[in-house]
Amino acid sequence: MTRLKQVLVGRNPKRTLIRAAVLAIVSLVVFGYPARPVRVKGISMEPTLHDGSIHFINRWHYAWSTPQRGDLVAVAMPGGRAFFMKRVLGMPGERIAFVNGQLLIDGAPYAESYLRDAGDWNMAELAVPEGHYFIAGDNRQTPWSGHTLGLIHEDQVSGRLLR
Amino acid sequence: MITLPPARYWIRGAVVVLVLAFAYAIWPTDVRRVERQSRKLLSLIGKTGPESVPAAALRVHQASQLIMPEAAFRLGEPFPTRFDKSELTAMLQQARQRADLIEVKNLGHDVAMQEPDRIALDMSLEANVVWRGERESMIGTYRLTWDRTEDGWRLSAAEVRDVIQHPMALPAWP
Repeated sequence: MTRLKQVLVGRNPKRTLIRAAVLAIVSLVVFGYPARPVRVKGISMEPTLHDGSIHFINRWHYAWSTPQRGDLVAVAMPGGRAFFMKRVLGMPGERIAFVNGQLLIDGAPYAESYLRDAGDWNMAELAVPEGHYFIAGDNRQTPWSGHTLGLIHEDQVSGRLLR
Repeated sequence: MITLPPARYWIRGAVVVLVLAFAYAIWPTDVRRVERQSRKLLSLIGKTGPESVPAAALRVHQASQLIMPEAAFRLGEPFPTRFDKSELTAMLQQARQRADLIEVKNLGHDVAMQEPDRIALDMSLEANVVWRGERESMIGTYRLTWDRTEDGWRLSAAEVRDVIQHPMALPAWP
């Protein structure tokens, strides 16, 4: 019993309690914000993110910066425990379109090196309002009408995927 | 007069704080009642294994008891544009007969609106359905609106909410 007690609380129970409390607080902060673990569900981000894979998102990344084109951003769903993971394609003020799978930004083709197959999306030109971003997944095999893509307000961006 | 060593005061204080926190956590507010009704509804929609026709009918009936007669549903694809309570219960009954497993999980929710007699929850839901050995999953966000009635809180509307605004849903989309 004495041995078990020593293993559980150490030689100095007060110090052990403080260490445990500090560890718990640090873990809550780290895994809640700068390195929040997420498990991918679905195939909308293939081939970049695979179904079932585990990644980390930094929820503080955009505290001092703004999303850039190509960033993989997390968009919180109600409750804040689940996120959409999508890629930023359109910046505020730009015009976005797809012609036979080719992304056009302000009418000019944009090369997307992260795609396995560009697919055949055709989407009429859409103006991205100020304070908004256009986001989409990397899997272009699903019809664009059924793919979760579109506009989000800048306040909806909850973090960036850690590489 | 009782005097205690200083450490005992700390322990008593911690116990009081814990008891107060527990009481606060379980205090039956209207929002918590609605959250409980939502959990109950999702649980009644679920199907974990084979069930008899009367058992399926009973669960659908229990689920329908949580829904107001004039409730309206707009749940997006693959459901009809708009449907009512009788159509929903018919769909539920059919789905239970055909599916091997139905699981609807709440991934989190926010209170979107709170009035004395109406509370709306924005819920992130994950649905998993096993149908003839094939599993289909869907994740979406829905607003569930609950109204206070004489029989307690009842669902008056459920509609899909788009976190990401699809271009086709924009008013000016061609």
